[in-house]
Amino acid sequence: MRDSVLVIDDDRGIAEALAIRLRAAGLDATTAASGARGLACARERRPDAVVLDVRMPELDGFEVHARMKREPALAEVPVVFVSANVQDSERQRALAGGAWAYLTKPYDAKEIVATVRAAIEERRRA
Amino acid sequence: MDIHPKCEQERRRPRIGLVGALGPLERKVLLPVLAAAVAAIALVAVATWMIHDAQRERQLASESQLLAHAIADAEVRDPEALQGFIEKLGEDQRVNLVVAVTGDPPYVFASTRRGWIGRELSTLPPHEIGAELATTMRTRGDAMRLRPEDGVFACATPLDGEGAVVVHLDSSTFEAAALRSTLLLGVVATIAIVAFAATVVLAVRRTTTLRLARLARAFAAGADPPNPVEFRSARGDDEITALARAVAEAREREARDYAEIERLALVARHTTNAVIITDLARRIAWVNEGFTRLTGYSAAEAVGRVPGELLQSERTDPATIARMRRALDAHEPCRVEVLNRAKDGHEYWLDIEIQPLRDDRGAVTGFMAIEADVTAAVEAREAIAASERRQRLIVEGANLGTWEWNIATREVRFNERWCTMLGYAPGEVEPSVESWERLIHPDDRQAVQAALDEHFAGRTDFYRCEHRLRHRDGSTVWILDAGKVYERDESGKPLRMSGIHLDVTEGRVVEDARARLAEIVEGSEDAILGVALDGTVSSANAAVARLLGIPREEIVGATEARSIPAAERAFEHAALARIAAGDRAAQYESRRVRADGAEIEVSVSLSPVRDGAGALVGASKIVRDITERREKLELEKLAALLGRQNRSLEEMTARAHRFVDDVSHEFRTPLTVIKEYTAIVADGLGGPVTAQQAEWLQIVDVAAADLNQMVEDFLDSSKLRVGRLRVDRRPSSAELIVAGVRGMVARKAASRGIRVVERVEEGLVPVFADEEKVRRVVMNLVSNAIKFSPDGGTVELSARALPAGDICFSVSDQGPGLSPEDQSRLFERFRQLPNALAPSVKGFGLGLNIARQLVWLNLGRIWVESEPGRGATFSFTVPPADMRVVIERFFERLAEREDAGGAIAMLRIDPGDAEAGGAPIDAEQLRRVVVGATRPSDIVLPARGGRGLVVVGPTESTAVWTMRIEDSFRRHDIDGAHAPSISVAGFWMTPADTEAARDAIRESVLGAETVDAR
Repeated sequence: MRDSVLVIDDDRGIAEALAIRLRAAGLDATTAASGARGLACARERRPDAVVLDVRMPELDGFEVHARMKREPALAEVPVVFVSANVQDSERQRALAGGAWAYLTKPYDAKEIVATVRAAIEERRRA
Repeated sequence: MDIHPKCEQERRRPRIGLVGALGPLERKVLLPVLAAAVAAIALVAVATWMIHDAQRERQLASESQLLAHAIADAEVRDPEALQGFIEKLGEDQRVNLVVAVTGDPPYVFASTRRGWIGRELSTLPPHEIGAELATTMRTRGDAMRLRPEDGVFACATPLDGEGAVVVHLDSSTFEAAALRSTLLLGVVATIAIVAFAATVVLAVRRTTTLRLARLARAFAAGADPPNPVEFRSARGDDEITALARAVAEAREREARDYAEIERLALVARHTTNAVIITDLARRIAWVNEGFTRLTGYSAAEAVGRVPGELLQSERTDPATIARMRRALDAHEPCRVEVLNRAKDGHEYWLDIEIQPLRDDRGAVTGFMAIEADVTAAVEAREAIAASERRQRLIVEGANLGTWEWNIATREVRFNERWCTMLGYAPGEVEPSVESWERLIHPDDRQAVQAALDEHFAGRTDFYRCEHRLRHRDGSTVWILDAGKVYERDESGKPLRMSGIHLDVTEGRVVEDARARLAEIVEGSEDAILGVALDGTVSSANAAVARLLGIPREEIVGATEARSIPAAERAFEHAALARIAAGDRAAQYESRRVRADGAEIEVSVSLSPVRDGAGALVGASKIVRDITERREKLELEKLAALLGRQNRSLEEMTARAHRFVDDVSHEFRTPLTVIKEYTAIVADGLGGPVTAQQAEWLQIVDVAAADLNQMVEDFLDSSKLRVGRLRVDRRPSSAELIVAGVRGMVARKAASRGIRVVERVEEGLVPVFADEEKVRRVVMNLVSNAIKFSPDGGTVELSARALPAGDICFSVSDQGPGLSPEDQSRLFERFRQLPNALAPSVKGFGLGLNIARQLVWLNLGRIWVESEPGRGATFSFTVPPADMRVVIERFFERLAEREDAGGAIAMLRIDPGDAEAGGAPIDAEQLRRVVVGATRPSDIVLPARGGRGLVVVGPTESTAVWTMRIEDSFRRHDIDGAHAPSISVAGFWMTPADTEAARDAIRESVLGAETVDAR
């Protein structure tokens, strides 16, 4: 069974582009277009990793991440942030909250795939 | 002269000698009397006479002797002077005859009461002088007879061996008078004694009678008195014995007295004391050498004067003089101490003993004064008295305890006060040093001992120590103890010491309080002055010197004129005058000039100062610097404003950050999508890609990367520009601006085949603007016009003056034009520039936003006129270089701000003082530096008079502003003595104070007249 990855981004274009890349790398990628939907999808599918946008209407990336941490089933799922914001404060906040990685847009697709793979393997070992 | 030895003899035996020459005369008188009277009567008469004679003779002898000496002492050599002197002497009632023999050949000056006779007696033997004189007198008709019984001749020492002085004094001057009195006495005695005679004759034996007669004769002849013992053995009758004894005693006394007189004469002559003899009228008849020594007046100067006139001064005690007068008037002796003045003016004290001089009848004929100089004694006595008085006063007044310490025996005598001071009865304190030592406060013992040791060792003149003693009731008494060793042994070891003991407890308390008060005053931050009623500063605390920057010693003793500005002096003077007139206190605000010339605002509290008795002696002035208070108030105001501004700035910054974040997010997201899908396609994830497709996809990718880079650059530059845009407005001209864009406009127009028409009015006034920014706006508008113009169209660039004075630049095109909605949206968007960056107004993009911002910074407006299908005309204004209009535009722009509330501040910047040395900053350099330090929203205007600059800006803390401009001066190496001075010329809150601000700024830039003319 292939490892599953959930991509949550309010920009469908980006979410789909990420999913295309992850699938091309042999992962099972699903997309969600908002924080709320992403959270619901995560509970349902229990992904091995989550790629999360920060700035989203209503439920933003940090809130989604925080809620996942409060749910035992999702608390251990590695989260890789992909944000258009380059501010250091935001990166620190993400990592302090338990994120696996914080990458910025425009991103390098190969880096994202590698990071997600590494996260899943690391999680599996632990 | 051979008169000399006779005179010597005369002094021993006054009734012989010269007088002896008159012997026949005597016998002539005596014999008839003796012959005529019965032996008993004669005896009585002789006895009576002798008693009388003895007394008279004694007195006269002494007086005549003195006078003779006086004349001799007077050392009158000059016959005329001598004559005058003797004449004067002859006027004396008492002086019967004065004879002076002087000169070679001898010349006799004789003066009688009746007149003056003078005759050369060269041939006359001295012993005949008397007879000759008598003859002379008789020839002159003077019934004068000189007998030894009638008077006494005295002979003075020779006048330097050249003469002699003879004085005859007589109380019963005339023979007739003498006869009359003798006869009268004889008759009375005869009648009285006739009855008595029988008894006497019976009782007295013949031998006794004979002996007595012989005795009487012997007396008359001047023989030595018989031995009283021998006489007593021969007595036969008690009365006679008594009589004889009386006579003998009289003789004895006489002899004694005579010796006394002789001695006195010597004393009078040689004494250091002054001797004065005056007549009854108190005129000086004679003075001795001592007198001259003492008073400085020679005898010649003194004779004839009254001693009081001559010698007394206004400082002589009137009471003493009165006492002396009373005594003299009553002819009584007196002894006084009197302050006299010598010829040279110095004053001296005399002990004067005055004796009346009497003639043989007891009538006072004059006075003799013996004066001793007791000045030193009197002064010493007075000094001692004064010192004692002082000491007593001190001891009594100061409530002093005293002590006497015999150091060897440890015995100390304490006075009563010493004991009561410590609560003991006088007897209760044992007279020993332990009594004292026991009571000394333990903490003070060491100091007391040290003070004593110092004094014992001779290192201090006085022992003095303030220490505490235990009162009997247990309380503490502060004592000031002082004393001195007054006796030491040969080795210097102290033996005896005495001192005083003063209770200073109260003083200590008061002193402590005073000291504390003085400390408070001295340490006060308020300047406190003591001012006399005439305005002189009598005291000042440290704060005064600090406040005024003047050393205290220059303040005290002077008036305050130096530190009070001329304009305030009259008022302050009046305030002090009101205090002097009895006003209670005054409070007012005034100003002071510091030593460095700076003026400060002060509040003054003026209060009267009274002495212990309640008399007004001055005023106290408390001067408080309220400049700081005012500045503090302003600072607080500014701090509040700054706080508000900071908060607003923080908000703005946060908003700016959010905006930048938003922009970057919004730009990056689509860029990421473009880039990602290009890459996905190029990577073949969507299917096979041909080489041609890959190449084209590469072009897309590069363009996307370029665009991303451009966005990053734009955002960065935008961030950098926040508050950092430099606006350098200065007078310029429309022609210059248009000429500056001509080349670029031409190139752009040429690429599209567009014709550009310039239409700049002639004679346009200069504009006040940042040229470069005006050019960018023009360029931007022209570019847009070209972009929207149809090919081959015409774009018109014009500049003209508007009625308000502003210069208007317009750019017209023949493009599609804008609908009214588009126009309003366009301007709506302009006003909300920060949120309007999204490229929703198609075709205008950022260019117009920037243009609008630049126009705004140049205090202008921008607008568009257009109708769809008929092209558009974009216009903007710049103010003319008329400062009045510039200020108007500035305030209009302020009013348009979204955050219109806030503050406007004005700084005035003046170039450094060229006179202080070095080159002054040139106006252009000053302007550049200041402009570089201001914010785009500030305007920098030339100050009135042109030398300095006025900077006006909204919502700026003057302190921060000033600091920034100062920094800028430093960066430009404008520092030190020549640094321009920056002053806060005004600070106003808007919109409430906008009018005031506008007026003040106009006044600073244009001058008062211009404002009034408005």
